[in-house]
Amino acid sequence: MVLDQLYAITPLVTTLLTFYSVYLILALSLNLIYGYCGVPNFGHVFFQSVGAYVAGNLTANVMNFMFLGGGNICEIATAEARRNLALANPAIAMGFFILSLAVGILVGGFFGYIASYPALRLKEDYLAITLIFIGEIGRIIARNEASIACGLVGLTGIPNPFIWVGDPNLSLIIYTIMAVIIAAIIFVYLQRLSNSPFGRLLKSVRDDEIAAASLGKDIAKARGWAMILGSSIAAVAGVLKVFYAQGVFADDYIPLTTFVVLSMVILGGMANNRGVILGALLITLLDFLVAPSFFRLIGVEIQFDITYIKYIITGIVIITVLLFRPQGIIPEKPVETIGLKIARQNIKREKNET
Amino acid sequence: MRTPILKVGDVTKTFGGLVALDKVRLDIQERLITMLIGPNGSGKTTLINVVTGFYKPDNGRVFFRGIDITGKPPHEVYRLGLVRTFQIPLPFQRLTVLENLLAAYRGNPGESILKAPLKMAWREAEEEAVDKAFEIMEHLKLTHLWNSRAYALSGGQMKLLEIGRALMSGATMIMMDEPIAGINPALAHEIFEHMQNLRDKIGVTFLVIEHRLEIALKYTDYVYALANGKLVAEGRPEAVMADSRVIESYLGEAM
Ligand SMILES: Nc1ncnc2c1ncn2[C@@H]1O[C@H](COP(=O)(O)OP(=O)(O)OP(=O)(O)O)[C@@H](O)[C@H]1O
Ligand SMILES: [Mg+2]
Repeated sequence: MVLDQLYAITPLVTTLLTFYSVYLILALSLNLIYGYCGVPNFGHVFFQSVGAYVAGNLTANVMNFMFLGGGNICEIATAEARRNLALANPAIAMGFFILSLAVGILVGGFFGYIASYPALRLKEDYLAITLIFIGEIGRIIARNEASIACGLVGLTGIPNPFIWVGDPNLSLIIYTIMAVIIAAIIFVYLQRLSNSPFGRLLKSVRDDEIAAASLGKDIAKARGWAMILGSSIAAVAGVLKVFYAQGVFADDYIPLTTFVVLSMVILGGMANNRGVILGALLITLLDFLVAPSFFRLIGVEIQFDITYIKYIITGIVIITVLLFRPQGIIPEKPVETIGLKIARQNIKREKNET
Repeated sequence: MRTPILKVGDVTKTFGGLVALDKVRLDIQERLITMLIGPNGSGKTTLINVVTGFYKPDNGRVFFRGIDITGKPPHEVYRLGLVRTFQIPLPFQRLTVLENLLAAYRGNPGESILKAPLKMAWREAEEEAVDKAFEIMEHLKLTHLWNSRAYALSGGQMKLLEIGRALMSGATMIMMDEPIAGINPALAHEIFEHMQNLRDKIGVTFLVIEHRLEIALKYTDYVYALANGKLVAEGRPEAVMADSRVIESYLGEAM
């Protein structure tokens, strides 16, 4: 009985956890770019979409070409054929995921590099607007150009890399565990990167680029790296989303997503990765609980579109945080290097002596 | 005469119709404290901005240790060992005093994106940097504020932090734009004594802009005087202060 019920809600739980991982990866990478380096990348969703298009387009085209004798990637029949291919071939199924991840990271980083060009030349507000529009242009192109991800209809038949285990729920569970592990690896990497002299370098560029330049910091290089790295990590989030949803839909990558992610960063605490874990969790839960699907699950009938309530709550949360705790739930901390430890010891020793 | 460490050759800088620097020539000798004086708006800060790459001169060239640095970007000028401070302090607001100093440390391998995640690669440099930072804080009486964010400092403390970052940078030549403005006299004297110490012990060269001559001149080896963007006098402090053109420029149109 209980097992049956657990089995029934498995997709719900895996979706929650996978989406949390995806959002967390997005929020951590935006935090690197905006929280640490001060570049208002309000087009962050675009870099996620780059990963998504790479994953979908590459997987569908190459699978069709190499194993299925060509064919239009947008046709339902070829989508079905790709699923069957992955069902029968574990190596192919997982291989395409890994390939997508690798290429997605590279292409995401490349677009990040391109986008760092305006990031060096525009003032903060203009830059923010420019980056929003870069992202929107990307979405509009993908929406209208079928060869990217089948336009409005969307590209389907991007098989879960673990589809071959048989039980659909089991493949979802394995995938989710993997997504959580990938998010954790990214967190650990970014924690190490930002708690180092490099993290301090980014913050110094953020706080005052003139002073930073006078102290030998190459502003262009620092911002360029933050954009390249942050964008390639965002692309990972795109790849993860596509292989879970088993498809790519251009309209998933609207500017609102960037602002949801931004609200996670602001809520948790800018330039603080731990805070972002919390911020992403709270907003993801809100997203999940205040949704028609959740109310259907608990058997409550609602007569209106609850999605709007969610936006209102998100707005109130953000405004409240900005008013009463602008630094976020967990505020920025000094860069935690060995230096800080020594400094604390120095101070303690001196206090003891006097 | 020895070859100067910094050579400014007939530099002209205009802003629209305003001539901020008019064929200014300086030869700054190594291991000296040189003062750059002149009334408000005479072009002192502009000169530092041109030398350190923040402004491009309209005309003229700048050489540091024989290398032509005219128009080089600021971070490259820093790398050659020439560092400046700002008249209005520009601290890294959200960083602590200690972090501000550490950020100025020269050549920390941990600033490379590849080496940053490997603690082993930068641990030693970081330790040295922390020791140096605490020494500097001691001199500048900032130790008790080591963990305070820069935005919480008083105006004078920000000035001190500005000086601290320059000292932290390990530069061979430091250009200071009004370092002791707003700093209490006792500490101001100590700061100049510290500069003398660095000059004598490690051979740091200083070019200092100051209005508070009653304190600064005592520590000065050589003086350049600007007025309306033009160099009007140079020489030993006593000689320059007695120069009629310098006196006139300070008393200005009133005479
Ligand atoms: N970026 C700029 N744009 C336009 N004019 C400028 C600029 N920077 C400086 N000036 C002008 O150049 C002249 C010299 O200014 P500068 O700041 O070099 O003077 P200063 O000698 O440092 O004065 P103070 O002792 O008041 O600091 C002034 O008339 C100033 O208005
Ligand atoms: Mg000035």
